[in-house]
Amino acid sequence: MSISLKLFVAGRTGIGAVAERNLHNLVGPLGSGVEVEIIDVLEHPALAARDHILATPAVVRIAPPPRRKVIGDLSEQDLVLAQLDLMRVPDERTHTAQTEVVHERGA
Amino acid sequence: MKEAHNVEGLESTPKIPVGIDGFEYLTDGGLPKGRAAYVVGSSGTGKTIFGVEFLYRGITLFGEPGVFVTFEERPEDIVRNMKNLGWDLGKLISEEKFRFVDASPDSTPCEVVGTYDLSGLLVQVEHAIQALGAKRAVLDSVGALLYQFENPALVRRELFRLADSLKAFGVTAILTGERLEEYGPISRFGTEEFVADSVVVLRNVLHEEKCRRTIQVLKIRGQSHLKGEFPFTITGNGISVLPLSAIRLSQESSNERLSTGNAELDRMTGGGIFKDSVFLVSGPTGSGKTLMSTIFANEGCRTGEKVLLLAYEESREQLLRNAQSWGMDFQAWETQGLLKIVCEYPEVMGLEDHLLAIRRQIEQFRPNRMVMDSVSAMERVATVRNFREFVIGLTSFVKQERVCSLMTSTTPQLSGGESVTETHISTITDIIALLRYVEIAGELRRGLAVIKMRGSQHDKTVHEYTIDSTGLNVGERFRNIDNILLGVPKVSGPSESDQLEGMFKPEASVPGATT
Repeated sequence: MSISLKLFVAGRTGIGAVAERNLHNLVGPLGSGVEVEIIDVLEHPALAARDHILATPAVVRIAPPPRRKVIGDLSEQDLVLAQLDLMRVPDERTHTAQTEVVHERGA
Repeated sequence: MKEAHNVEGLESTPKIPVGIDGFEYLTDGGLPKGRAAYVVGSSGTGKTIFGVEFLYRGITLFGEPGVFVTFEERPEDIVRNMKNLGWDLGKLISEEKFRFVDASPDSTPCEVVGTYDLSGLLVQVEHAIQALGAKRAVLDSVGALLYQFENPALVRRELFRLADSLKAFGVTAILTGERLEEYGPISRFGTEEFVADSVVVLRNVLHEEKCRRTIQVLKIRGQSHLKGEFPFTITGNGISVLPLSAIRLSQESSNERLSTGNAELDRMTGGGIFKDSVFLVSGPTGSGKTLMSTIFANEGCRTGEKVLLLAYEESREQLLRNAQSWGMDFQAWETQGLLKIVCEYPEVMGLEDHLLAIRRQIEQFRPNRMVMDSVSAMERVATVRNFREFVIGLTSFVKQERVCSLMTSTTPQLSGGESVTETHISTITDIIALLRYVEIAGELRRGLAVIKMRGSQHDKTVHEYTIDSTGLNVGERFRNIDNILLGVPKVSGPSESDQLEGMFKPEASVPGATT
């Protein structure tokens, strides 16, 4: 079971682009365990309403629980990882979380 | 760098009527169209209701759809609360006339990492406005938004951006905000009011144990408006502002006279009282005020007029019983729809609410006469200023509606004395009758005088009167007694003119003639 995140940006330029890049750098090393969907609220305002997005950029951990949110350009990776509870990636075989050092973090 | 704008040929900003009862008087026609107004007040002053009513009236009276952006309360809670005012927001939502933007706090734990802005909010609001073709919007409340995003500079900047966006859409907006003191700084954070072109302050002031709601238009850029605070009330139908200064002294006056129900009293007033007058009957307790008002009410019903009787000191049963004991059948008048009795404890609501309730009664029942027994009961439950405003509001209204009104007033002492009621309302009333006890040679007798009768001659003497099972009997004037009304009565000897008169056969007395 992979973790699904949604990144809401207001346009693909400016701080939205910065957040997108930061998030990409952050989850890349986590492999296929994390899926990211990027939503441009300027194109899809109804989706912003559905997820109660007031501030952008915003990344929301959708599933599995816990539901968490980070707003901002995501410039500090440690904080983002901690808040989104990405420090532990669940093991696909046993369906239990394993404490695993994500050695690429901070790269 | 901004370009120099072409300022030739610009017109003044048009106004839109808000639709809230009485508010248009304060703003001289409405709020500036397509601009933002800031409505601020301490907790519980009615800001959210004001905002919702602004949208509700926009839809129902002017066909303008509206968007309500809520930063604090959940949409479901607002819809439920507004049901109490008879407003079915759910129906308007399904008709695409009303829409919420739910910006209330999300329960999802949220952290800030890096810079952000509120584009998500702006996008949601713009989307809702476009979807409905909305012309009105409410943002409730700025404080709650600041609570969610603890960055005043950012919130201020984004509010400006949002206000600009609303202006570009031609939407007239209301932002609500908190303040902590009733008579302190305008707003909590000191900056919100600069986003807006107009500022309205709502207050709920506790004074001498009474709560009084007031509304004040602090500023409207580029437009005149009434200054100062005005009382308002929240009824079962929304907000009602009572701008007393808007009531002009422009009533036409009537020459038609009505009978008081007592022939002698009619004579003393020069033929009855004018149809659009306010008649004050003043006297100590037990002097016969209620009897006089009962006779007055009865006379109205007897001649087929409708009478509204406002009783603040006795129950309906007591009134009916007392009237019956004097041979007047109030029950029958009620059955025939000529008499409406309203009994209330003055304490149940504030004077503004009483005034509104009375106005509604008059508008619905359309009486020809009104009796208020007593107006002193209202005086006891209000501050001096409140009471005076109440009396002005009431008397203006009854005159405007041509309702001949009698109000009783209780003097504090048995011998008369000064009544605060009279100090305030004697200049407003048209006719004043005083009932007083008179102690003469160890006997308690009663004296009645008409001391004012605007627009007519009247009998300026003090007459003795009695009360018995047949009712009120007005007799002869007191002779040879001074100071009946003004102090301790003193018997004086017969005057020279009386002595001369006694030598000849007395002629039948002529109305209005004095000896």
